[in-house]
Amino acid sequence: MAIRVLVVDDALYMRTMIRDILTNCGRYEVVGEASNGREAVERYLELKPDLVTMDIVMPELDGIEATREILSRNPSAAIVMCSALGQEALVIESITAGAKDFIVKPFTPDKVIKVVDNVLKGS
Amino acid sequence: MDMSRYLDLFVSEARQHLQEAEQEIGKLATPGTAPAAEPLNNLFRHFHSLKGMAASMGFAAISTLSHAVEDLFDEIREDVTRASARGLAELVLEACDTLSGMVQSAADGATSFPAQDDLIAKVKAQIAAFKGAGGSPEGSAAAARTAPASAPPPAATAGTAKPPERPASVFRCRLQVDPEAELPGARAALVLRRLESVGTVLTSTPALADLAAGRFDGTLTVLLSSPEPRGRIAAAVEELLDVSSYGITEEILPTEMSERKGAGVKEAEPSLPSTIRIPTASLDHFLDTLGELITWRGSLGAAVRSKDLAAAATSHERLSRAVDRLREEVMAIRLLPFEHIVPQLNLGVRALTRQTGKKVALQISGTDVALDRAVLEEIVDPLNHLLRNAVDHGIEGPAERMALGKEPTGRLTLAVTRSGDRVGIRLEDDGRGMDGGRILATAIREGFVTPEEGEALSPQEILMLTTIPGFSTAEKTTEISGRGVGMDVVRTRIEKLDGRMWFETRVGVGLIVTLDLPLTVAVIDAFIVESGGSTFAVPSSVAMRTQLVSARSLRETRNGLFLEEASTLVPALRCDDALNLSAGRRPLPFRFPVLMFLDGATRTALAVDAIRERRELVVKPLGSPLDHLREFSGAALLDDGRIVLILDLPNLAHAAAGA
Repeated sequence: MAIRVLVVDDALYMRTMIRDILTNCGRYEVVGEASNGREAVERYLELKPDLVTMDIVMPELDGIEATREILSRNPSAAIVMCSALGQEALVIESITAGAKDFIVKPFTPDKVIKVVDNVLKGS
Repeated sequence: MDMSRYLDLFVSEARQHLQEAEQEIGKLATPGTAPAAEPLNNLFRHFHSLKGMAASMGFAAISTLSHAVEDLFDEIREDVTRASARGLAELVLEACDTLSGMVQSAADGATSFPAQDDLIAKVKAQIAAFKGAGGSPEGSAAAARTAPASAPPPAATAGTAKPPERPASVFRCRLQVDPEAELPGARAALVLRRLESVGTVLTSTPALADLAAGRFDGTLTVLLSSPEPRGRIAAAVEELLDVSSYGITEEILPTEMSERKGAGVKEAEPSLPSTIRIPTASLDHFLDTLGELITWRGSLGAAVRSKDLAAAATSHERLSRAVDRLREEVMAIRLLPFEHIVPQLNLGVRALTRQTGKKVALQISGTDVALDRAVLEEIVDPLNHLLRNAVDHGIEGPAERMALGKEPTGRLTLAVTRSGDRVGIRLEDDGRGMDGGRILATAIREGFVTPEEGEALSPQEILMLTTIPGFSTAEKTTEISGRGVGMDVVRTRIEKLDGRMWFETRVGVGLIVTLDLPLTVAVIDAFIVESGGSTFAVPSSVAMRTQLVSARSLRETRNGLFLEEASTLVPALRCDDALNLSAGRRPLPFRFPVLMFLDGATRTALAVDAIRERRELVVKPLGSPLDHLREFSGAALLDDGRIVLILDLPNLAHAAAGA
């Protein structure tokens, strides 16, 4: 059965790219998208996905805050941060907030799959 | 294996956890604030870490108590409204206090501690109450009577469902993050998180803050305390991406330690950290300033060699400015906010209110005023004394207060303020106050003052009689309303720091004790004087003025030595006589220097043979036994390596008068 994923990023281009990578792999199914942190939390609660890919810098509510909120409702949520280059400090903050791993843009399909596979292997 | 290294680490981290826990509890206990997940998670984390660290050090009693409180917060986290349960904050604070005492014992060398069965039973009863009755704080009576060792009653599970904890070991984990990895610092952060899930990270190099600041060369070293076997920890590391190599070795701790002290748990007397953390920016400033010092030293040297006075003067001026700047930077590092000693003060008051059954609300303000660490360390005991006196002797019991029309809870406020290079600490209570009349009567009766002297005393001076050594003992036996034992010690300590204290009071209304302290004790501006063949230093803050006077204006009378000034007589003393330097005593020259100072409110003159110069000195406190010499407030080194003693002029005058 495919692993259900929620993709969060304020850029449609990014969401499309991640959706394509995950869908082409065959083992993942993107069940929803969100374009800011507020939406991310709402969709998470609606859809209860197995995994979330979370952009960091977004309007309304940023990725780190959204991560915190989701984890406060479900401490075992699997969230992978998607960061742009040069945001190491923010990624570390996300990890401290509870994110399980991260990928750096621009990413290659192999990198993305390697990380999400590893995150879900642990649980 | 060097246990002491781990002990220091354990003690300082344990104290940090307990301090932070206390702050979080303060947030919880504030009425009107909605209970929130974050403080509860933090509190859980603090006791969880403490449990792990104590277990790996072999301190079973500390670990067990911490474990109980950890379980308590685990239970509370399930339903945040439980945080406002009545009596919860007091229970947790009691646990914190007990743990602080045990940590202090550990720091002093104890390796076993008395079991805290009663306290643990109380905590478990609270847990049972949350589990069973769905939040009622009083809990089932059956659970409360259960001692931890006996079988649990059917209604409460009180944590016995968890498997017993294995003793924890300390592992040294060294990991190499793949150099090709993106965001290696973030990878390292993930490693830390993973390790935290199988144990407790004692230290990590680099620390998380360094990783966040981008300081990471690829190697992460972690000291991890964990009950898990090495294999399990290795498996956890294997799961991580981008770790190119790792090594995990178990640090073998000795299983036997000779017991050096008894296992009594004392009241915690924590001291200030002996290492400090400073922002790396400060070090950079030092380096910059050092660079300037080197540059201008070079210019000065060149100017001197080429005998160019103008250039030398410029270089010297630049050098002076750089030295001033460096001094400010170093002094700034020595400053610690008053907040550092607040937990100890709170603890002392809490313990005493429990013992005496009085109700006291302590409010401390100005906690971010920063003082020199040396000053801060010195005033902890005097402040504790003063606070305890207020609770013990000053503030009345609730019944008595209500009968007097006061609120049953006594008010005790401590306010810290800074004004220029002095710090003021004002301690005010709304208790009994001090009765000057009765104090004077006691002093006369015990022979500390004659009735005639008593007549001449100002109200302020009468209150200060309570600080005469021996007064408090006399006073206690006659049960006069006033202060208890220790006021002479408080005054001595304060004055040793070049500070002053005084009282203001209204009988039945309350007492205000004010302390005036220097911001730093480290450096003073002083006159270097000679007298009786020896050299001394006089702080310029004490000497209001220096002047040359003629030998004829010195008058020897029945009442002592006086200096004729305009048309008045000013009390005077010769430095060499006051210090009994008869060997080097010479007749005063035709014109000799005096330093004018204030002894209490009286202008007094100190006659010396010569005033050599005025300069800055780095003060070193006199250690034992020299610190008993009240005539000296410290010592300093001169450029040529000579030691000069720093004179305490008011005390010198009293000594001379007494002789």
